[in-house]
Amino acid sequence: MPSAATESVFKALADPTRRAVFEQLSRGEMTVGALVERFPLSQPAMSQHLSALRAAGLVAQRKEGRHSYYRIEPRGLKPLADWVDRYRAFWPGKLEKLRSVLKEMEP
Amino acid sequence: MNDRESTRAGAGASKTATDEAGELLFECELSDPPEKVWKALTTPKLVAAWLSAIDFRAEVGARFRVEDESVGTVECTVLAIEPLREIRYAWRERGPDVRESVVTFSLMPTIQRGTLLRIVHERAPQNAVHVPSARAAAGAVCAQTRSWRWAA
Repeated sequence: MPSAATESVFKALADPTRRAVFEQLSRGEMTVGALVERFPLSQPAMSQHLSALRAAGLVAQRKEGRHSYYRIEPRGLKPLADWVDRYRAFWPGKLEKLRSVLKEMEP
Repeated sequence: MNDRESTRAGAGASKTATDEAGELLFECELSDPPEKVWKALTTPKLVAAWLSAIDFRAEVGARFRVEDESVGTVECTVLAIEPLREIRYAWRERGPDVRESVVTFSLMPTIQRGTLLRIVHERAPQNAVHVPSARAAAGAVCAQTRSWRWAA
C-alpha cells in the first residue's frame, strides 16, 4: 500500500549527496562534524541533508553529551524495498502480456 | 539490499537488473521488428490489452490510467515520444500521498531484425523533464559507474 513514508524515502534518496551520506553512515554512526570532514559541504548544508534523511526515517540520531550521533535506520528502507519487489514482479508480467499481444498481431 | 540478477538464455530472454541509484531496468529481446513493437506500445487498444491501460493515447500530455491488482490504480501522463524509439510516462500511484516515478520504454533494432526492448522505471527523478533517456540510464547501469549500495 502506498504511504507517506515511501514518498519521502524516494525523494530523500533521489539526491546523490544524500545517498552518499547515507552510504557513509551505513559504515558506522558519525557526528555531523565528522561527516562534514568527509564531504565538501558546510555544516548547515550537511544538517539539512541529515534532516531530510531523518524525516524519511532513514537515519536516526542520538545525543551523548554535546554530540549528536547519526546512524542508519535500516527499517527505513523497507517501503522502498517493497516498491522494488512490487515492480520487479509487475514489469516482467507486463512483458509477457506484451509478447502475447505481439503474437496475436498481424505480421 | 544490493542485488543484481540477470538471466540470459538466448533469443526471447529477459534480464532484470536493479540499479542501486534508484531505478529498475528490464530488458527483453523480441523477435518482432521495432515497427511492430512500436505499434504495440502506442496503439490504445493494444496498450489496453497488455498494460491494462485505460484511455491511453500516444500523445505528449495525454493522461491515462493503469489498473492492476498488484499496483492498484496508477495515474499516468505521457511525457515524451520519440517515434519508433522511446516513449516515457509519468507514473503516479494513488494513495494517501502521491508517489511519482517515471517509466521509459526504449526500442533498439537487433541484427536478427528483432527488437531489444528496455523498460527503465526511475523513482522520483529531480525533474521529470530532464530525466536522462533510457539509453543513458541503461548505459550507466552496464558501466556500473555507481558504487552506492543499500545498507542491509
